[in-house]
Amino acid sequence: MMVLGRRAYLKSLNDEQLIQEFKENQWAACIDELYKRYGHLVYGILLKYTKQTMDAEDLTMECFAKLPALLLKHDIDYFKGWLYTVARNIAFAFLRKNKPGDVEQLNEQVTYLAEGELTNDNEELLATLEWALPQLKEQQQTCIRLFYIEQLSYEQIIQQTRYSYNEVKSNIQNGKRNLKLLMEKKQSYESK
Amino acid sequence: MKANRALFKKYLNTKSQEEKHLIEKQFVSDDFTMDAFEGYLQHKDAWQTFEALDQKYNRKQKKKKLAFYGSALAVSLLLGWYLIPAMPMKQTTSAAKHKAESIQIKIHREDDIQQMKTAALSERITPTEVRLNFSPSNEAPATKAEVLERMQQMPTQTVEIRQQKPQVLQVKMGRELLIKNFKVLDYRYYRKGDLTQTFAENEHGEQQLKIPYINILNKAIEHFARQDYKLALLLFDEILLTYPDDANALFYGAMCLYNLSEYNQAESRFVKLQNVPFGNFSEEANWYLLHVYQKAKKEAAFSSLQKMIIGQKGFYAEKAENLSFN
Repeated sequence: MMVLGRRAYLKSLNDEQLIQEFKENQWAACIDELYKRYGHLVYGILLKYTKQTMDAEDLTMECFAKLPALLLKHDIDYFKGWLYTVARNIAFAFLRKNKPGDVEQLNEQVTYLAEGELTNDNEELLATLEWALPQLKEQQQTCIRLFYIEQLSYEQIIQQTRYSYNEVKSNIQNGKRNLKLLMEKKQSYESK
Repeated sequence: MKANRALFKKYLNTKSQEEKHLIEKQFVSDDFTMDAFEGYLQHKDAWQTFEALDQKYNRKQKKKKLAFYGSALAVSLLLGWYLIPAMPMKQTTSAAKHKAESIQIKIHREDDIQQMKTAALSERITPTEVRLNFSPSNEAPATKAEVLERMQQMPTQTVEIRQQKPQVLQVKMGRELLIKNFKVLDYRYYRKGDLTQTFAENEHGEQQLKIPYINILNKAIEHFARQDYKLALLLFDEILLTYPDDANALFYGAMCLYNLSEYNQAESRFVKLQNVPFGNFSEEANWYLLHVYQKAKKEAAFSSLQKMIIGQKGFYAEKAENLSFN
């Protein structure tokens, strides 16, 4: 046996192993490690919804304070996706209570993908662009073209189109999803 | 690419739209990251406020830890008498260990390692090469005995042989095992009861815990095999903090440093390996030290070590002969 800095050991584990370790030993250091990995993401999400740094700060602390009990209660397959939902729920609960006027954000569609899907299959996507692009809604067409063909950043797309960040993001994501559906349709039609 | 803090900082601070686009392209389907980016972009000083939150979080955790350590310290004081006999004493008296301790190697902290840069692919020695290039295991007693016997029969007037004989006879080989097909010295036979049991804070204010040596080594080798040299080095250095003359951590840690282009530090570890109680890695250490000298452009050291390896006529003699300085 040897003594190892707990942080170094926990750092070497992946999220799911880390959670397993927490469930078995309930080490507070596991939560610290999760904070280190995702604190900045949670804060960003909460800032997006609350729009106030003070509120985002308090809610981030609240989120990581709740985490131990939640981890023990739930079986989590993919921690990052799960934490995204937890952070959003905390934000929505806060908005409902404090800023009921902002609740329209709650209708936003959650489109979190599983871990394996996060890597982009851009080449396949580009191949479909030529014939499928005109079939998309105009806003999606514009955003997809600017992002994938003209290689512009979100900031540049916002400047050119005057869409909001959220609109650009949704148009790219939904456009990409629709392109995939069109591709699948085409393939099934061709195979008949 | 991971959506870690460094990447966020880069994304939020870069002026290059091209760089921004590349990052966005990586995370276009990752709502968590993209939403978080959006949050930060809404406020100019968002990242600074997050860093302030970081400090607040750390302060809060530290307070909690202090309360825990207060009670743990009392417990460990009460149990102190029990722990003293378990301290390993015998091995530390060996001359080799004293010598090994005199060679200073740098133990890295996480931040030091983060700043290192992995060498270009052509400059690295991959884990597969290391694995395939091991000299034959020491666990072939018949061959060893034969070598020693033959050497004793050689004419004593040959100066070269007289110099080599004591060297070979002094080397102590430990039992070995394979982790992911990588040779390691099995310290489980040599460190019985070698356990420090404490709950105290270390110098960095971190909580410490007991973990079997073999588990850490296993994890470290796993990272090494995956070419994740930074993470592997972090764990090998943790081992060296407890066991400064650990041949496994010295050898594989040196290989990590080599692949991270930290040639001077790799050199000190390979040199130290020649002076630890077990010689299981000494041949390999010399062979890779030769590569270090080549990369660090130390011509004199390179040619003298090359001559030595060739002269020893061991497993790496032929390879050393074929390795040129340029």
